[in-house]
Amino acid sequence: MRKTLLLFAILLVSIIVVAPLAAQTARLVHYQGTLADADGNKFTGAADLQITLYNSPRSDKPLWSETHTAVDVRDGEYSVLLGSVTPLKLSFYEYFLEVKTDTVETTPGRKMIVGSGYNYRLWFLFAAYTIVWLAIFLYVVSISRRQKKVISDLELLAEATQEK
Amino acid sequence: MDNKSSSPWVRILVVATLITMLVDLYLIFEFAPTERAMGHVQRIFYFHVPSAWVAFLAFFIVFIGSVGYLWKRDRKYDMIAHSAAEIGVLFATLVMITGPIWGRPVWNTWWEWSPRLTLFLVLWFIYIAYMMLRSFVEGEERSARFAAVFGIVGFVDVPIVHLSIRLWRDIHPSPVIAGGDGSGLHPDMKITFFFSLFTFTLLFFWLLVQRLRLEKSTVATSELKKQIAY
Amino acid sequence: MSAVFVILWKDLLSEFRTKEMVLSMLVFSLMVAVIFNFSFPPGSEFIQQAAPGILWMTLVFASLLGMNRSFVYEVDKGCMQGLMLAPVNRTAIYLSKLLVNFIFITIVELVVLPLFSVFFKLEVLHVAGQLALIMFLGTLGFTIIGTLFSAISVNTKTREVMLPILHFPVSIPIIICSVQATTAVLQEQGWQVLWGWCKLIVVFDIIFLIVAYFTFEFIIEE
Repeated sequence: MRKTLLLFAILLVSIIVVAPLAAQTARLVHYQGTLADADGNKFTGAADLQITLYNSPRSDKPLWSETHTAVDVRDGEYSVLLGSVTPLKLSFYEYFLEVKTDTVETTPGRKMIVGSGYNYRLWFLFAAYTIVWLAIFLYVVSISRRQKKVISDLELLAEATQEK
Repeated sequence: MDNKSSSPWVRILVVATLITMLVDLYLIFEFAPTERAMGHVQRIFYFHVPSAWVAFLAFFIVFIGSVGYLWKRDRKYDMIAHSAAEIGVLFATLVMITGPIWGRPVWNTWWEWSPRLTLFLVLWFIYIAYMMLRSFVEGEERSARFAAVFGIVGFVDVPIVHLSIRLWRDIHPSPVIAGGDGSGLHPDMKITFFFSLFTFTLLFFWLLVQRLRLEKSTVATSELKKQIAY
Repeated sequence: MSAVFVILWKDLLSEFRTKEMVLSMLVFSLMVAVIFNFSFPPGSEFIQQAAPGILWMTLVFASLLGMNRSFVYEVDKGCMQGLMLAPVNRTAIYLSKLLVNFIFITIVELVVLPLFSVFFKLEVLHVAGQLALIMFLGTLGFTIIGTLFSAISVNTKTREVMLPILHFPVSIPIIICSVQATTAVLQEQGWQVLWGWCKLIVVFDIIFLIVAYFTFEFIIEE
C-alpha cells in the first residue's frame, strides 16, 4: 500500500508541475480589427469597444465579454489584447467574435477566430496526461484492493482448515 | 504471500520505476522542446506511443504465455498470460483515449480511420474478447486452455489485420495526415521519447509483478477452497 | 481420413432429416438482406456500392447462427464423449465439423446470392466464376475460425453471445478482403486488384488452418 501512496504522490507532483505550465501560457489574445461605419468610411479617433465571444454565429449567449475604453483607431484599424480587462478563460477550438461600439454606427457581424496560439491545446495535453496517470493509479489501487481481499479470504480459509 | 514482494529484485524494480518516472516527467514537460506546428499537445506523443509499445509487448507476452501453457501445462504460464492481458488492455485503452485527444486539436477530428488507429481498435477488441472469455468459462483449467488458444489465434491475427487494413486504406486514401511520428525528430525529443519508452517498459514490468502476485494468491485461495470442499 | 468422412456423414444425415440449420440460416440471411435494404432511402444509388458489404455481413451473421449450433448437440446430448472415446484423431473431429459448416454455408450462399442479386439489382452472371472464388475463400476463412471458436463458445456460460465476440475481431481481415474483392469484381476492376485481395484471404486461410489444426485438440480435451 505504501507504494501505491508513493505513486499517488508522484501523480500529485506531476499535476503541480503541469499547472504552472498551463497558467504560464497567458490567455491574452492579440486581436486586430477594422472599424468603419455602415457606409464603409474608415474611422479615426478614440472608440469604446465592447468585444464579445460566442460559440456559434447565431448564438445569443455570450461566452465572454469585455469593454475596452478609448481604443486608438487609425484609418479604421485598431488592435486590442483580449483578456487584458476580463480574464479570458476559454479553451475552445474556435469561437465567434463580435465588436460593438457606440462611437460609430457599424454593420453588425461576427468573425470566426480560431484558438490563437497553442493555449487551447494545452488542455488536451492536460486531459490526456491526467487520464493516463489516473488510470494507472486506479489500476494499482484495484490490484492492491483485490490482493487484500484475497489475503483475507486466505486467512479465513486457513482458520477453517485448522478448525477441521 | 507478502514476503514474495520483498525480494531484492522487486525492490530494485520499484525504485527504478519511480525514479525513471520522475525523470521522465521532467524530460517530457521541461526538457523536450515544444513542437512548432502542433504546440504543447505534441507532448502527448511521449506517453501515447510508449503506451502503444507496452500494449504490444503485453500481448506478445500473452502469446508466449499461451504457447507455454499449452506446451508445458504449467499453471505459471497461464498466470503470466492472464496478468499481461489485463495490463495490455489497460494500456491499449490509454492509447485509444490519448489518440483522439491528440487527433482532435492536430487533425481537427476525434477519430480518423488511419491504419494504425484501426489496427489498435481491432487489437483492443481482440483482447477485450480474451478477458471476457476468461470470465465466462467455468473451471480454471478449462478457462486457461481456452484463453491460451484464443491468445494464440488473436496474436497471429494481428499482422494479418495490419496487412488488410493497409491494403484497404490504400484503396481509399485518407486526407493527408500531417507529420508521421519519428520523422525528423529533434534530438532532444528523441532522447525524451526513448526514455519514455524505457520508463513505460519498467512501469509495465512493475505492474506485471504486482498483478502476478495477485494472480498467485487468487489461485492459492481457490485451491485451498477445493481442498476444504473435498 | 475416413474418420473425417464418417463424422461428416453423420452430421449431414442428421441435418438431412431435420433440415434445421440450413433452413434457419437461409431464412435469417434473407431477412437480414431485406432489412438492410430499409436502412437506405428508397431508390438510393448508394445501395449498390454498399451491396458487397451487406452481402458479406448477412452471410457472416447467418453462418455465426449456424456455427453456434455445430457443437451444441455433441455437448448437450453427450455425443462428444462418444467421439472422444472413438479411436480417431481429435483433429478429425475438427476437420469434419469444418467441412459440415462449410457445406451448409455454401448451400445457403447458393440460394442467397441469386436472390440477393435480384433484390439489389446486381449483374452477377458474367462474373459468377470470380465471385465463386471469393465466396469459396472467404467462407473457408470464417468457417475455419468459426468452427474453432464454436467449440470454445459452446462451453461458456453465454454460448450464443460468446461466438460473435470471439469471432468478429479475429475475422476482420476476412471481412475487409472479401468485401473489397467483391466490390472489385462487381465494378470490374480487373484481375490484378482481385488477386491482391484474394492473396490475403489465402494467407489467412492457410495460417489459421494450421493454427486451428494444432490448437483444436486442446479445446476438446476434458
